[in-house]
Amino acid sequence: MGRVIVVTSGKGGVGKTTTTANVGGALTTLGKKVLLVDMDVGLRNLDLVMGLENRVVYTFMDVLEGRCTAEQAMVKEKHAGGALMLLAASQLHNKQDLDLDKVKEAVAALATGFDYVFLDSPAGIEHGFEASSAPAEQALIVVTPDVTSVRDADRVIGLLENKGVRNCSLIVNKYDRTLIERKKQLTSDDIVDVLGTELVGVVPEDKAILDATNRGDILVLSQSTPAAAAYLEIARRLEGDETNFSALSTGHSLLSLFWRQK
Amino acid sequence: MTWLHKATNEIARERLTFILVQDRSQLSPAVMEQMKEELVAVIGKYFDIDKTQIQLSVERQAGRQVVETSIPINGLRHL
Repeated sequence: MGRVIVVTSGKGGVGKTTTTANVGGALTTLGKKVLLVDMDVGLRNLDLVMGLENRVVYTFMDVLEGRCTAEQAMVKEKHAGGALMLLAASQLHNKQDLDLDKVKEAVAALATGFDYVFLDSPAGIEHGFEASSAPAEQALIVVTPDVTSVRDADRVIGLLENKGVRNCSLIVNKYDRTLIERKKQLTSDDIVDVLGTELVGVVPEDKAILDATNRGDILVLSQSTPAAAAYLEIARRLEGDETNFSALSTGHSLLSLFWRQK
Repeated sequence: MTWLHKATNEIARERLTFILVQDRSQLSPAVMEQMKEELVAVIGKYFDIDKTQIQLSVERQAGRQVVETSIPINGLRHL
């Protein structure tokens, strides 16, 4: 029985979908079998981030409503050799069409075939978020270092706790050390302190993410960059390995200088 | 940025700390003030307290919310 993890944030545009794709991809490099489910009914994007938009035939909604089997709906990622699968969201339905009991039942059945199932939640705290968090035993909260994102993350963590999802951890995304050095950006310590929630990853601002998304490649499966390193660290932490947060280290290694120039 | 100005990340942190107390407690600033007054009335009976320095926060600790108050004491009341 695999672990079911919701990736959520409250606020939109903080990088939930990119994080889902890359953390999932990173886990496959550790030999794990991973399923990513796009829960953003009506506004799906995980297929696009993974470069699978032309391969989607059936969606998770089709599985829920019995129009096809889960096997028929799952799409295989190109570089992970079958270890990374996508269940896309329907563009033809509304979030309200997600039946909570059916979602829970379907996700539980899917989890038997994988080590990890990630539910990529839509932004907001309405029905789509409810449906994404209902089946989850654990939550990854993606937060960017700004007041609006941190406030929304706090709200989401409170709601998850009320639902009994107490295993919440933070991924601080778009971290910019230059801004931190100029005291213009909240530090990851500030965010952890204010939210009272443990940290599982710090992903630095990295232009390579945009390039990878433009191409439809998952960064962590195609390049070695600072952000890719951060995603690998998150995967290792999820596996119980206490690794460093390389985005927070102050030293400028030769490798990081090289990365900066790209 | 000069030494005259507070770093903006520090301002951000202070504003967040303040707004999250309201969000978490779902109490308006007015109700919060009223609660402080009531605390002052009760605690002030037993201690000589500094009313201007009372702090109230709602923290998340081990998966639950905890109300924390800090009320500096000037001296004891000799009851």
